[in-house]
Amino acid sequence: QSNVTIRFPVEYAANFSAGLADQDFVKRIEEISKGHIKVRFAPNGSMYKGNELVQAMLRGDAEMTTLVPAYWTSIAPKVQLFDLPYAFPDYETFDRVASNKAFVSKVFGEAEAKGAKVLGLLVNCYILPGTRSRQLVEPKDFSGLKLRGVGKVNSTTMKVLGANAVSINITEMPAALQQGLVDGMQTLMDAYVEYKFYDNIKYVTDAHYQLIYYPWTVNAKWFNGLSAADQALVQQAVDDAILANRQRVIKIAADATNVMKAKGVSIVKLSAQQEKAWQDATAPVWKQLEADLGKEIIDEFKAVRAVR
Amino acid sequence: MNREKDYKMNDDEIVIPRRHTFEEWVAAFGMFLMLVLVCVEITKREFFNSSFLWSEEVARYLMIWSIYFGASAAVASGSHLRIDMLIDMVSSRVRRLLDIFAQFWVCAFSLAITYAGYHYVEDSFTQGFVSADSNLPLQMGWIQLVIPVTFALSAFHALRQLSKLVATDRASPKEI
Amino acid sequence: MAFAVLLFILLLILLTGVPIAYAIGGIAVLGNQWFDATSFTRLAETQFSSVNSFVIMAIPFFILAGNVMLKGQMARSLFEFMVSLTRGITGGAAIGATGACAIFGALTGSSAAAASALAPVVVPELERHGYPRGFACGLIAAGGTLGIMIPPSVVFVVYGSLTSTSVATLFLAGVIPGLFLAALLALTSYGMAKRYGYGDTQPLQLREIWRAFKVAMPSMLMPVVVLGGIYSGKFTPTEAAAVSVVYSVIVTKYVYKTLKWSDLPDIFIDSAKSSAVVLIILAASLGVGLLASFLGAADQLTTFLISFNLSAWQFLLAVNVILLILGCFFDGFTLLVLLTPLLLPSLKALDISLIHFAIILTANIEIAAITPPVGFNLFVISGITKVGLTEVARGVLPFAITLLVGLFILTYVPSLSLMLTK
Ligand code: NA
Ligand code: NA
Repeated sequence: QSNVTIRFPVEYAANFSAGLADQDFVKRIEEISKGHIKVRFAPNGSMYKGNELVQAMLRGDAEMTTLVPAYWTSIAPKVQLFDLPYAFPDYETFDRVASNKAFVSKVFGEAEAKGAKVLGLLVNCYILPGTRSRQLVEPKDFSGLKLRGVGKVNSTTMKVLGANAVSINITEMPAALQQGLVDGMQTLMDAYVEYKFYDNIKYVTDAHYQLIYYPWTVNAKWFNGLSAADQALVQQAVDDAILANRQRVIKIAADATNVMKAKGVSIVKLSAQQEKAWQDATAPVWKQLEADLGKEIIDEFKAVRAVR
Repeated sequence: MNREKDYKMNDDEIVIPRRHTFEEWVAAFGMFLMLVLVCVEITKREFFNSSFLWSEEVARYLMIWSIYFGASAAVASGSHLRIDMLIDMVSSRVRRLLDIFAQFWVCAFSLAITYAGYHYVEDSFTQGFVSADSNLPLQMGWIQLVIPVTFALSAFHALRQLSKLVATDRASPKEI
Repeated sequence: MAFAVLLFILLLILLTGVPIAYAIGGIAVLGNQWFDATSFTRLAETQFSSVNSFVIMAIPFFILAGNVMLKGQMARSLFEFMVSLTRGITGGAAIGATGACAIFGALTGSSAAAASALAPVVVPELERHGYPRGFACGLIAAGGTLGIMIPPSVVFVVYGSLTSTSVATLFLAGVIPGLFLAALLALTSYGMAKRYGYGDTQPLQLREIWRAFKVAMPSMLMPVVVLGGIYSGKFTPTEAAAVSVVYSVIVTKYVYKTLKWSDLPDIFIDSAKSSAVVLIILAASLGVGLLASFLGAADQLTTFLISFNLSAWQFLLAVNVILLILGCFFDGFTLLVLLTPLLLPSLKALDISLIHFAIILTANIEIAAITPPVGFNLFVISGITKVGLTEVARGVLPFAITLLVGLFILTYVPSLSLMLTK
């Protein structure tokens, strides 16, 4: 049995929630393969950043990556579906869609045609809007705010709500918030803590309009070249890491929420009615994407979401 | 930073208008456009509270074009930064050999990146890469094309200087 | 170890006079092929993505603004105003020149820009006031380096992008160390003038101060607009750099009337080439950086340092000594882009503030610009004033020692760097 080395670069830090899942995978695969599958895990964007990760993996410079879907949208526009506001209003909906492998393959079809293979979707938590001075309770509260956007569909969502999505480098965000260059941002609860955004953010709204996940991808040519047994081992380790991650991220988010509260940040809870109002207000984004992607795929997505 | 090579600082001298190369104009024009873009963006945000999602990205690409056309122009005019401590001390014969080595190195490296850049751009076109940052309907390959193109130009400039150096009579080494 | 060998080969190649960017890039290519680190295509990709950054865009803008200020002779008004204030004291003109360096440092982002703008004005004036030529050249060479410590600064822009630190915070951190070093340089000028009897003194004239102030005013307002804009949340450091271009064009064209529209094409071409020359070094260094991380060089360095049980202060002492030695031979920008990624894990392991280290590194880069044999400001000053390199280097010595003292104080009194950022 020949040894296999997986080069596995990612953009985020190893101690970030997705990084923990990646490390969990590394541990699992080395264990169940009894050491004949090794992983060179390279966190922090130390080898590649952003789009480079996609290209490096397709080129075969890396075998595996878990990357925010925004970068995949640049070669596979249908991936934008999952960024639609309230695409996944709860985890159950996400699980239903993620477990429909045929549909996931279809959404990532353009990426797969170009040499990627999606082994699973590593789910995290919702990105939550946080603001310096204004509570976001109703859709109209967004009006006129400058917020850091995350991806194309998200920016459209902000626009539909009357806010402006601006693109600012994450490292400039603490200063930009402090100086009022932006009014707020959207990120995961643990990122609020990690970057100490609580120094400048007063309110975070626990809204469920965009669930963050990372497609767990491999270079298809490499994967198909593995023995069937190795393929099964890799798939198994990915599946297990994704499953274990699910419990962990919820705990991480809960811990981060407590830190935020302790730092004096108000966590705004939305009632079912208020959340419905956000959902209605952002519905036009679906129509706009329909114009780009066609009605058929949107309808199929809706159907897949609804299947119980 | 390489001003002293391009300009005569002395006011008394008659300033002969420098003939600018095509690459210099591209570099300067890219810089000008990126300045305009950033200023428009500030104005739009401050006074109209709105923002083009694509402007940051386009400004970045203009900078990259400006840098690489500027770098290629600098190969032609010999204005790249280098450590000339040693080469100023050696005999003119050794100096000529070192200059040949330097131009050869620049040429070889530039050819290597031209080749790598060709594949880089080709990959992007085959994969159909578009911008991930905004709605810019633009194939990234067109932007990335600057790499193989300007490195090919750099290789050409270095090769020309190399041939000049080799052709120069040993007795009178010419400044490159 | 393998990486150390590569760096040594790089040093040899650099000494043969191969342009820095191409030497670094070539080593990246050779190392990559030798160690089979990544695909060949990746080498072209690094050239593109290393400069694909909005933050980096501040550098061409600062260079452009510096060239506009140079062409529009903005330095003269600042110098005349500062001297009108200090001419009553011993060494007044020299102290005024240091002040002009500090203010000009707040206008421009690079040390060569500050030195080249001030030298043509200040060196002849100081000579006229009875200072030796070498002293005057040395003072401006050293004073010019304040341009990278006092915000805005291209060094902070690059450091910020290499370490994911906020550029705005770095700018703020540079204020006190910059003013502190300016004060030390002024003190040295004063001491030397007193000891060797340099220079003249003239009575203060309020009317003269007022006249000079009115002329200098539009120039001095620039940091207010640019830095004020950053800290009041009007714009990011990159946008501030763009604003400084527009501001300096307006002032030199409409207030001083020293700039003609027809000057602009040359200014743009010159600036684009200067920016390219600097940024392509940054672009090439990413390839070497990736090789370093492929070979685990930074981690090995950290392990190596930890094996000595170095405490933070010993580590900083060692780093300073190494930087000072390397700074004699390399230009500061190359040091910055090659060493920062290499040192980053050690800094984290020893819990050294990245902001504080930015100040230490910048002070070292300042010194590197004025230490022979390779000192960029020495070349600039010698080129502009036509004073021999040796005379400039001799003149700069007392000021280099001053900056060295400043460096050690900044290293061991971190609060000077961190005070404003808290
Ligand atoms: Na400055
Ligand atoms: Na030096």
